[in-house]
Amino acid sequence: MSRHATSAPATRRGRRLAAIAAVTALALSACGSGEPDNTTLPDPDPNTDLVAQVASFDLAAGPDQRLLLGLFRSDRTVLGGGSVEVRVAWLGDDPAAGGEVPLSDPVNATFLPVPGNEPDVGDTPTWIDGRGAGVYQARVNLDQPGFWGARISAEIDGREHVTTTRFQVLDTHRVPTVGEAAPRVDHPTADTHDGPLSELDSRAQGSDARLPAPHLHQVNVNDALDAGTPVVLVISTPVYCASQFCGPITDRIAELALDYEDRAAFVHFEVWKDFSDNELNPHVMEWIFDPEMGGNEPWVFLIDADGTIAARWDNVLDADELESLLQALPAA
Amino acid sequence: VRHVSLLVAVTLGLTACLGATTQPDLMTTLCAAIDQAAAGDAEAAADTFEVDAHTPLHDLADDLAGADRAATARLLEAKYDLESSIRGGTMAPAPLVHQRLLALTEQVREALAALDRPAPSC
Repeated sequence: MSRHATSAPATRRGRRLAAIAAVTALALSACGSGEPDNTTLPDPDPNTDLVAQVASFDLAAGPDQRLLLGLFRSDRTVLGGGSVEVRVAWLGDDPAAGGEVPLSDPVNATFLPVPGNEPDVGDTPTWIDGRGAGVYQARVNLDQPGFWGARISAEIDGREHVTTTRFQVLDTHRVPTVGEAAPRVDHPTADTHDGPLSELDSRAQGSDARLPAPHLHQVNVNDALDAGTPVVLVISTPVYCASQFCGPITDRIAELALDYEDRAAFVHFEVWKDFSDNELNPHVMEWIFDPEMGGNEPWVFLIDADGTIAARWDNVLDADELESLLQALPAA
Repeated sequence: VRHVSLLVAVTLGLTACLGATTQPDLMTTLCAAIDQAAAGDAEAAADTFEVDAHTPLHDLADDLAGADRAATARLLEAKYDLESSIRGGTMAPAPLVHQRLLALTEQVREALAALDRPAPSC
């Protein structure tokens, strides 16, 4: 059973947290100068202004971990398109750990555009001049918890740019993960909810509020799982999102719901019960909020018919991967 | 009532990287977008907003959230109102985009004032 099971004590859910996750602090450490992080990984390139930041939410020790990297220039122009090479290294248990460390074999990190906000880029890494955003996605083996470094090499405009960044890897995931039972939580649907509609979707504001994607609020997750129906669950706050991704990703899930309604039930959990009052929806807390580490969004989960989490996507949805998994599900 | 803090941390890392020094640029950008919308070019206004204002707005909201949640909510709601008029495949008429840019800019000025930062008008 997941750590976020419904038996979690209310006091735990009600705890006010001020701590900022170390992973976030480390990720932000690269912001100030625009120069590569002062890691001791070998071969940083002092002549590049390529900056990397880890965009993953919940990295834990284990094989085949989903590593998301935001790559950008010091003027914040985002890199997109093609793929880059990533090598990782365990630095130690201390945030300041470093030294010469052995790097992993290289893996490709492929550009993953934000669904609905795809930039106009080709097959090679390019500075995005105009609209669009995305991250680079790799699968890496992180065999122990602690502090890790990543060395990223990108071929941009005919020249190799190398940068490094650091990130924290936890001993276990803080958010329900693949292979675990999906938390069974009580949550309202459009039919059962008796409060402001903005508690179901932050986009439903004002006196004439309407749910922009009402089909994502028709099914109770527990009922669907009890009936043996797989569930796609998106947890996001389109209006109050800390990133630029929540709205487009929620929209993409709403589109997929129309195309694959015979394969799965599609449900949206709005993060905030009341943003101004700093109050989260309790069913969301059960899923993505950790008393020690806080929480992040957006998240997308695919839950099997037997109630097991089959896949999950933090931050930036890989819509193609989700769609291929949906296509593999039997039609009702 | 459960009050909690959600760690609204970084995603792309593009949020929160810049501090107060970007805010004059944000106002300049929004004013430019307002001028474009006033001239009837909603597409250009939308491009200006998306490319140069969107990320700094997230930064501003992130800074403001610790100081004034209600003002942060108003800022993000005004941002969403604008986004809903320029996204989704259908561009709203320029006068509506103009109106929403003006409303957003007022919320930005309120946010800047709440943070004791310069809040120039267009």
